Amino acid sequence: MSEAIFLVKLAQILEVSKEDMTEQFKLDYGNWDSLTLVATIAAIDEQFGVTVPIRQLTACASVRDLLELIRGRLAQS
Amino acid sequence: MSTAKAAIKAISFYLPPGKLTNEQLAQEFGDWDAEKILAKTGIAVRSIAAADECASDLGVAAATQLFGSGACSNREIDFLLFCTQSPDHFAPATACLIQDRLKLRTDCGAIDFNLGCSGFVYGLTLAKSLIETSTATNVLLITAETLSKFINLKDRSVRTIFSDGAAATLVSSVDSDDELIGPFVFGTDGSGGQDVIIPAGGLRRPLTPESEIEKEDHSGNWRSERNFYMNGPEVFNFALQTVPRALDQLLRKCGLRMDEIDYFILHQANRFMLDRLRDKLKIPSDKFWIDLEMYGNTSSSTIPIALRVARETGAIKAGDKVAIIGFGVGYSWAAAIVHII
Repeated sequence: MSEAIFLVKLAQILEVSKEDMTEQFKLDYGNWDSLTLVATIAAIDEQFGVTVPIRQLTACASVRDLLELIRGRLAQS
Repeated sequence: MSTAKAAIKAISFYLPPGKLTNEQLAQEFGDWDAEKILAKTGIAVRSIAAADECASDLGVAAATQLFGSGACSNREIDFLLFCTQSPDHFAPATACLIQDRLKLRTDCGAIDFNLGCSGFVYGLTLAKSLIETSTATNVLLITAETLSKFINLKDRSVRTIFSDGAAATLVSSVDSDDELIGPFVFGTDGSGGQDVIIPAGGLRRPLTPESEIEKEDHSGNWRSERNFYMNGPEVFNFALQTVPRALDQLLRKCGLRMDEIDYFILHQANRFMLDRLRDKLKIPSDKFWIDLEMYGNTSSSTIPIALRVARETGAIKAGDKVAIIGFGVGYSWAAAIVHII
């Protein structure tokens, strides 16, 4: 459930439609500014209660990678 | 047993008259509008020191107001603590120059210490230690910063947030059964030193023609090695992890529950971060200070400015137990309980 809510938020942050925000959605950090990054960190913290290291976050090539990173952090916490 | 305890007796603050508004920023940066800047940062106006206005000048102005308020006379101060990261010179200590300008006694101790957003809380622990060991009776703690002098005009990541300013806090010895400042918790993690830094201009990297070269970063902001740099996302992560832990340690140390703390004043970094921290810490909004609109992020002075304004507006009152938390450059952080008298 929280993953679905998170994806809606991520769509808002990246200013794309929520229908486009699937696991296949490509994350192109090259187009992110620092505010986008901060907003994403905040949304992850809000939905899952975990923080993700910036280097690992910016290494995510797709939403699937990002969700796997979050799941990994949740399993550790 | 009633013994000499340190307490915050009075606070004054001073902001230089030069201002930078969201409208000016929106005009300069084109693709941002003033409302968006206000919504993200919570800041409408920043104060900017003039070219000939240094941290000492702001500190002297704040302290002059403090003495003018009748809280105490300049001749009663027996120790001056000056917190800045923008000193007038490498040497002498700016505190020595301020002693002379404020006409403090020559048997007054005076030292500088270099911290940013955690600096006020560290200053309080130094003041308390001086007073409760009977080394001093009236400690003047001045926090003052002119970060704008290090900020590149084409770096909106920090220009939108930081503001120049100073606060003068009188910490005095009073007879009390209870501890009025403290307990404290502290923290340091120098592995984050590169995340908030002015790389060149010290002795590790002296100023050279190379350190003046401006480069564009990933987000379209420009800066040189002599400019102030902040890695916003890393600092945000640091705050999300560190502030809840520090508050938890503080509550354990003082044996109080969250609901027994009357008010929470965190370093006023920016609205976005404070909103997230308040939500994470589950603090009701009527017990949590967010007021950056007219002040901006003045680094070490945000907490004393907040304490003064919160007292004036009635948000905090005599007898309240207030949790204060400073965090930032270093990384350095500290939290404390302050009893309002």
